[in-house]
Amino acid sequence: MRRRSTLAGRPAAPTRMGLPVLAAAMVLAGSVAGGCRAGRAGTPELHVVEIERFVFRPDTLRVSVGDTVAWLNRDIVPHTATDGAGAWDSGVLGTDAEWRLVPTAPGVHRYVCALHPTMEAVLIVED
Amino acid sequence: MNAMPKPAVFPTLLALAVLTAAAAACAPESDSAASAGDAQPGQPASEMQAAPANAATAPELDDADIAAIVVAANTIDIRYGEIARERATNPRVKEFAETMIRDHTAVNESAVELVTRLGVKPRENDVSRSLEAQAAEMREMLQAKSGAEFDRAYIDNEVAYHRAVLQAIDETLIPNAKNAELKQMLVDVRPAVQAHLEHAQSIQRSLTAGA
Repeated sequence: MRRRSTLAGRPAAPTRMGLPVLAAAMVLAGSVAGGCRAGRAGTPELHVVEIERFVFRPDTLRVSVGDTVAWLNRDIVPHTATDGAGAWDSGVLGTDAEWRLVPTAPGVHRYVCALHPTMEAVLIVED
Repeated sequence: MNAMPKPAVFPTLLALAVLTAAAAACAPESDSAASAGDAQPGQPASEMQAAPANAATAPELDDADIAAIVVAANTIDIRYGEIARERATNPRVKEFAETMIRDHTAVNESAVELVTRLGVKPRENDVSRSLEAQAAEMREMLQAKSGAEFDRAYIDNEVAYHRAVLQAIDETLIPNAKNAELKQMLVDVRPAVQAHLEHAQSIQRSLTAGA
Protein backbone atom coordinates (compact mmCIF):
# COMPACT_ATOMS: atom_id res chain seq x y z
CA MET A 1 0.00 0.00 0.00
CA ARG A 2 1.56 3.22 -1.08
CA ARG A 3 1.80 5.92 1.46
CA ARG A 4 2.20 9.51 0.65
CA SER A 5 2.75 12.09 3.28
CA THR A 6 2.19 15.68 2.39
CA LEU A 7 2.63 17.13 5.80
CA ALA A 8 2.64 20.84 5.49
CA GLY A 9 5.24 22.42 7.70
CA ARG A 10 3.95 24.97 10.16
CA PRO A 11 5.22 27.98 8.22
CA ALA A 12 3.67 26.81 5.00
CA ALA A 13 0.57 25.35 6.55
CA PRO A 14 -2.71 26.88 5.51
CA THR A 15 -4.21 29.20 8.02
CA ARG A 16 -7.34 28.33 9.89
CA MET A 17 -9.19 30.94 7.88
CA GLY A 18 -8.03 29.30 4.69
CA LEU A 19 -8.84 25.76 5.63
CA PRO A 20 -12.56 25.70 4.95
CA VAL A 21 -11.92 27.18 1.55
CA LEU A 22 -9.15 24.70 0.90
CA ALA A 23 -11.25 21.79 2.08
CA ALA A 24 -14.16 22.93 -0.01
CA ALA A 25 -11.93 23.31 -3.03
CA MET A 26 -10.52 19.83 -2.52
CA VAL A 27 -13.95 18.31 -2.22
CA LEU A 28 -15.11 20.25 -5.22
CA ALA A 29 -12.07 19.21 -7.21
CA GLY A 30 -12.67 15.59 -6.33
CA SER A 31 -16.31 15.89 -7.15
CA VAL A 32 -15.69 17.54 -10.47
CA ALA A 33 -12.99 15.09 -11.34
CA GLY A 34 -14.76 11.96 -10.36
CA GLY A 35 -18.46 12.56 -10.15
CA CYS A 36 -19.60 9.60 -8.11
CA ARG A 37 -17.11 7.17 -6.70
CA ALA A 38 -14.72 6.57 -9.47
CA GLY A 39 -13.70 2.95 -9.15
CA ARG A 40 -11.06 1.49 -11.34
CA ALA A 41 -12.55 2.75 -14.55
CA GLY A 42 -13.08 6.32 -13.38
CA THR A 43 -10.89 9.18 -12.44
CA PRO A 44 -9.49 8.87 -8.94
CA GLU A 45 -11.18 11.08 -6.39
CA LEU A 46 -9.85 13.11 -3.53
CA HIS A 47 -11.62 12.56 -0.21
CA VAL A 48 -11.03 14.73 2.82
CA VAL A 49 -11.40 13.54 6.39
CA GLU A 50 -11.39 16.47 8.75
CA ILE A 51 -10.21 15.97 12.30
CA GLU A 52 -11.94 18.44 14.52
CA ARG A 53 -13.09 18.48 18.13
CA PHE A 54 -11.75 14.99 18.64
CA VAL A 55 -13.71 13.27 15.89
CA PHE A 56 -12.96 12.13 12.35
CA ARG A 57 -15.48 13.56 9.88
CA PRO A 58 -16.83 11.56 8.22
CA ASP A 59 -16.39 8.70 10.63
CA THR A 60 -17.11 6.19 7.88
CA LEU A 61 -15.72 6.79 4.42
CA ARG A 62 -16.05 4.65 1.29
CA VAL A 63 -13.45 5.13 -1.38
CA SER A 64 -12.20 3.24 -4.40
CA VAL A 65 -8.78 1.77 -4.95
CA GLY A 66 -6.61 4.51 -6.39
CA ASP A 67 -8.50 7.37 -4.79
CA THR A 68 -6.69 9.71 -2.44
CA VAL A 69 -7.75 10.18 1.16
CA ALA A 70 -6.50 13.31 2.90
CA TRP A 71 -6.68 13.68 6.65
CA LEU A 72 -6.66 17.30 7.75
CA ASN A 73 -6.15 18.16 11.40
CA ARG A 74 -8.22 21.21 12.22
CA ASP A 75 -8.03 20.62 15.95
CA ILE A 76 -6.01 22.57 18.46
CA VAL A 77 -4.05 19.51 19.57
CA PRO A 78 -2.06 16.89 17.63
CA HIS A 79 -3.71 13.74 16.32
CA THR A 80 -2.90 10.72 14.15
CA ALA A 81 -4.80 8.52 11.72
CA THR A 82 -3.52 5.05 12.53
CA ASP A 83 -4.76 1.82 11.00
CA GLY A 84 -5.72 -0.66 13.69
CA ALA A 85 -4.08 -3.50 11.79
CA GLY A 86 -0.86 -1.60 11.35
CA ALA A 87 -1.11 -1.09 7.59
CA TRP A 88 -0.56 2.65 7.75
CA ASP A 89 0.03 5.48 10.15
CA SER A 90 0.02 9.20 9.54
CA GLY A 91 2.39 9.90 12.38
CA VAL A 92 1.66 12.92 14.56
CA LEU A 93 -0.27 15.63 12.73
CA GLY A 94 -0.07 19.04 14.30
CA THR A 95 -2.70 21.71 13.88
CA ASP A 96 -3.44 22.34 10.21
CA ALA A 97 -1.22 19.48 9.07
CA GLU A 98 -2.43 17.10 6.38
CA TRP A 99 -1.53 13.53 5.45
CA ARG A 100 -2.56 11.63 2.34
CA LEU A 101 -3.01 7.99 1.57
CA VAL A 102 -3.68 6.28 -1.76
CA PRO A 103 -5.10 2.82 -1.05
CA THR A 104 -4.03 0.22 -3.58
CA ALA A 105 -6.08 -2.74 -2.36
CA PRO A 106 -9.65 -3.20 -1.21
CA GLY A 107 -10.32 -3.70 2.47
CA VAL A 108 -11.94 -2.39 5.61
CA HIS A 109 -9.67 -0.34 7.81
CA ARG A 110 -10.75 0.50 11.31
CA TYR A 111 -8.50 3.26 12.46
CA VAL A 112 -7.95 5.41 15.49
CA CYS A 113 -6.02 8.37 16.73
CA ALA A 114 -3.11 6.65 18.41
CA LEU A 115 -2.90 9.52 20.89
CA HIS A 116 -6.61 9.52 21.76
CA PRO A 117 -8.06 6.03 21.62
CA THR A 118 -11.60 7.31 22.04
CA MET A 119 -11.37 8.57 18.45
CA GLU A 120 -12.37 5.80 16.04
CA ALA A 121 -13.38 5.71 12.39
CA VAL A 122 -13.58 3.38 9.40
CA LEU A 123 -12.13 3.59 5.90
CA ILE A 124 -13.71 1.19 3.42
CA VAL A 125 -11.73 0.66 0.23
CA GLU A 126 -13.66 -0.90 -2.62
CA ASP A 127 -12.46 -2.37 -5.85
CA MET B 1 -5.09 -1.34 46.05
CA ASN B 2 -8.41 0.38 46.29
CA ALA B 3 -7.82 2.33 49.43
CA MET B 4 -9.90 5.43 49.54
CA PRO B 5 -7.73 8.51 49.61
CA LYS B 6 -8.41 11.20 52.15
CA PRO B 7 -10.24 14.26 50.88
CA ALA B 8 -7.00 16.21 51.03
CA VAL B 9 -5.63 14.00 48.29
CA PHE B 10 -7.50 16.05 45.72
CA PRO B 11 -6.97 19.56 46.95
CA THR B 12 -6.77 21.12 43.52
CA LEU B 13 -10.39 20.33 43.10
CA LEU B 14 -11.30 22.61 45.95
CA ALA B 15 -10.61 25.60 43.79
CA LEU B 16 -12.46 24.13 40.89
CA ALA B 17 -15.32 23.45 43.23
CA VAL B 18 -15.48 27.17 43.91
CA LEU B 19 -15.86 27.68 40.21
CA THR B 20 -18.68 25.22 40.09
CA ALA B 21 -20.46 26.35 43.19
CA ALA B 22 -23.73 26.24 41.39
CA ALA B 23 -23.39 22.50 41.20
CA ALA B 24 -23.10 22.15 44.94
CA ALA B 25 -26.71 21.25 45.32
CA CYS B 26 -26.05 18.16 43.26
CA ALA B 27 -23.06 17.04 45.28
CA PRO B 28 -23.18 13.41 46.35
CA GLU B 29 -24.43 12.65 49.81
CA SER B 30 -22.19 9.67 50.32
CA ASP B 31 -18.91 8.22 49.20
CA SER B 32 -20.61 6.39 46.41
CA ALA B 33 -19.56 8.42 43.42
CA ALA B 34 -18.67 11.82 42.13
CA SER B 35 -21.37 11.86 39.53
CA ALA B 36 -24.04 9.49 38.47
CA GLY B 37 -23.47 7.25 35.55
CA ASP B 38 -19.71 7.07 35.38
CA ALA B 39 -18.62 5.90 38.76
CA GLN B 40 -15.79 3.43 38.61
CA PRO B 41 -14.85 0.73 41.05
CA GLY B 42 -12.20 2.02 43.33
CA GLN B 43 -12.84 5.55 42.22
CA PRO B 44 -11.88 8.09 44.83
CA ALA B 45 -14.99 9.35 46.50
CA SER B 46 -13.48 12.54 47.74
CA GLU B 47 -13.23 14.39 44.51
CA MET B 48 -16.42 16.39 44.69
CA GLN B 49 -16.94 16.50 48.40
CA ALA B 50 -15.43 19.91 48.67
CA ALA B 51 -18.21 21.51 46.69
CA PRO B 52 -20.71 22.13 49.47
CA ALA B 53 -18.11 23.81 51.67
CA ASN B 54 -17.30 26.23 48.88
CA ALA B 55 -20.78 26.87 47.69
CA ALA B 56 -21.26 30.18 49.42
CA THR B 57 -19.97 32.49 46.73
CA ALA B 58 -19.32 31.94 43.08
CA PRO B 59 -16.52 34.19 41.86
CA GLU B 60 -17.17 36.88 39.34
CA LEU B 61 -14.70 36.39 36.54
CA ASP B 62 -13.75 38.59 33.65
CA ASP B 63 -11.80 37.55 30.57
CA ALA B 64 -8.42 38.32 32.13
CA ASP B 65 -9.30 36.08 35.08
CA ILE B 66 -10.54 33.33 32.78
CA ALA B 67 -7.36 33.51 30.71
CA ALA B 68 -5.25 33.04 33.83
CA ILE B 69 -7.40 30.14 35.00
CA VAL B 70 -7.12 28.43 31.61
CA VAL B 71 -3.35 28.76 31.59
CA ALA B 72 -3.09 27.62 35.22
CA ALA B 73 -5.36 24.61 34.66
CA ASN B 74 -3.35 23.46 31.64
CA THR B 75 -0.02 24.05 33.31
CA ILE B 76 -1.08 22.07 36.35
CA ASP B 77 -1.91 19.03 34.26
CA ILE B 78 1.34 19.35 32.30
CA ARG B 79 3.25 19.24 35.56
CA TYR B 80 1.30 16.21 36.78
CA GLY B 81 2.19 14.59 33.46
CA GLU B 82 5.86 15.40 33.90
CA ILE B 83 5.85 13.63 37.25
CA ALA B 84 4.07 10.65 35.70
CA ARG B 85 6.56 10.56 32.85
CA GLU B 86 9.23 9.91 35.47
CA ARG B 87 7.39 7.76 37.98
CA ALA B 88 4.71 5.79 36.17
CA THR B 89 5.36 2.11 35.53
CA ASN B 90 2.28 1.03 33.58
CA PRO B 91 2.83 1.65 29.83
CA ARG B 92 -0.71 2.97 29.32
CA VAL B 93 -0.26 5.40 32.17
CA LYS B 94 3.05 6.58 30.73
CA GLU B 95 1.50 7.09 27.29
CA PHE B 96 -1.42 8.93 28.80
CA ALA B 97 0.96 11.25 30.63
CA GLU B 98 2.77 12.02 27.36
CA THR B 99 -0.56 12.80 25.72
CA MET B 100 -1.50 15.13 28.58
CA ILE B 101 1.80 16.99 28.27
CA ARG B 102 1.44 17.26 24.50
CA ASP B 103 -2.22 18.30 24.44
CA HIS B 104 -2.21 20.72 27.32
CA THR B 105 0.94 22.35 25.99
CA ALA B 106 -0.80 22.81 22.64
CA VAL B 107 -3.91 24.22 24.30
CA ASN B 108 -1.84 26.63 26.34
CA GLU B 109 0.04 27.81 23.26
CA SER B 110 -3.23 28.35 21.48
CA ALA B 111 -4.74 30.16 24.45
CA VAL B 112 -1.75 32.44 24.95
CA GLU B 113 -1.67 33.23 21.24
CA LEU B 114 -5.36 34.13 21.33
CA VAL B 115 -5.35 36.31 24.42
CA THR B 116 -2.21 38.08 23.22
CA ARG B 117 -3.92 38.86 19.96
CA LEU B 118 -7.02 40.01 21.80
CA GLY B 119 -5.01 42.19 24.12
CA VAL B 120 -6.28 40.30 27.16
CA LYS B 121 -3.58 40.04 29.78
CA PRO B 122 -4.08 37.00 32.01
CA ARG B 123 -4.54 38.24 35.54
CA GLU B 124 -3.87 36.08 38.55
CA ASN B 125 -6.88 35.78 40.78
CA ASP B 126 -8.03 33.88 43.81
CA VAL B 127 -9.07 30.88 41.77
CA SER B 128 -5.89 30.61 39.72
CA ARG B 129 -3.73 31.12 42.81
CA SER B 130 -5.71 28.54 44.72
CA LEU B 131 -5.44 26.06 41.85
CA GLU B 132 -1.68 26.46 41.75
CA ALA B 133 -1.20 26.28 45.51
CA GLN B 134 -3.30 23.17 45.85
CA ALA B 135 -1.73 21.51 42.85
CA ALA B 136 1.60 21.88 44.61
CA GLU B 137 0.22 19.75 47.44
CA MET B 138 -0.96 17.16 44.95
CA ARG B 139 2.44 17.07 43.29
CA GLU B 140 4.04 16.48 46.67
CA MET B 141 1.66 13.61 47.31
CA LEU B 142 2.39 12.08 43.91
CA GLN B 143 6.13 12.44 44.37
CA ALA B 144 5.85 10.33 47.52
CA LYS B 145 4.36 7.38 45.68
CA SER B 146 5.86 4.81 43.37
CA GLY B 147 5.02 1.74 41.30
CA ALA B 148 1.42 0.64 40.99
CA GLU B 149 0.42 2.91 43.84
CA PHE B 150 1.65 5.92 41.89
CA ASP B 151 -0.09 4.80 38.69
CA ARG B 152 -3.35 4.50 40.52
CA ALA B 153 -3.04 7.81 42.35
CA TYR B 154 -2.09 9.67 39.18
CA ILE B 155 -4.93 8.25 37.11
CA ASP B 156 -7.47 8.73 39.90
CA ASN B 157 -6.45 12.36 40.09
CA GLU B 158 -6.60 12.75 36.30
CA VAL B 159 -10.17 11.43 36.27
CA ALA B 160 -11.20 13.74 39.07
CA TYR B 161 -9.33 16.72 37.70
CA HIS B 162 -10.68 16.47 34.17
CA ARG B 163 -14.20 15.96 35.46
CA ALA B 164 -13.92 19.06 37.61
CA VAL B 165 -12.39 21.10 34.77
CA LEU B 166 -15.18 20.00 32.47
CA GLN B 167 -17.75 21.15 34.97
CA ALA B 168 -15.97 24.47 35.42
CA ILE B 169 -15.84 25.00 31.64
CA ASP B 170 -19.54 24.30 31.27
CA GLU B 171 -20.88 26.10 34.29
CA THR B 172 -18.53 28.98 34.86
CA LEU B 173 -15.87 29.68 32.24
CA ILE B 174 -17.98 29.56 29.07
CA PRO B 175 -20.94 31.41 30.62
CA ASN B 176 -18.67 34.16 32.01
CA ALA B 177 -16.43 34.67 28.97
CA LYS B 178 -17.26 38.00 27.34
CA ASN B 179 -15.12 37.97 24.24
CA ALA B 180 -16.62 35.76 21.54
CA GLU B 181 -13.28 34.30 20.46
CA LEU B 182 -12.30 33.46 24.02
CA LYS B 183 -15.68 31.82 24.52
CA GLN B 184 -15.19 29.86 21.28
CA MET B 185 -11.77 28.72 22.40
CA LEU B 186 -13.33 27.30 25.56
CA VAL B 187 -15.94 25.55 23.45
CA ASP B 188 -13.18 24.14 21.25
CA VAL B 189 -11.18 22.94 24.25
CA ARG B 190 -14.11 21.12 25.81
CA PRO B 191 -13.93 17.99 23.57
CA ALA B 192 -10.27 17.59 24.50
CA VAL B 193 -11.09 17.61 28.20
CA GLN B 194 -13.97 15.19 27.63
CA ALA B 195 -11.75 12.83 25.62
CA HIS B 196 -9.04 13.00 28.27
CA LEU B 197 -11.59 12.16 30.94
CA GLU B 198 -12.86 9.12 29.02
CA HIS B 199 -9.30 8.01 28.28
CA ALA B 200 -8.35 8.29 31.95
CA GLN B 201 -11.49 6.44 33.01
CA SER B 202 -10.63 3.63 30.62
CA ILE B 203 -7.18 3.29 32.16
CA GLN B 204 -8.65 3.56 35.64
CA ARG B 205 -10.93 0.60 34.88
CA SER B 206 -8.02 -1.46 33.59
CA LEU B 207 -5.96 -0.68 36.69
CA THR B 208 -8.88 -1.66 38.91
CA ALA B 209 -9.39 -4.89 36.98
CA GLY B 210 -5.72 -5.71 37.33
CA ALA B 211 -5.51 -4.84 41.01
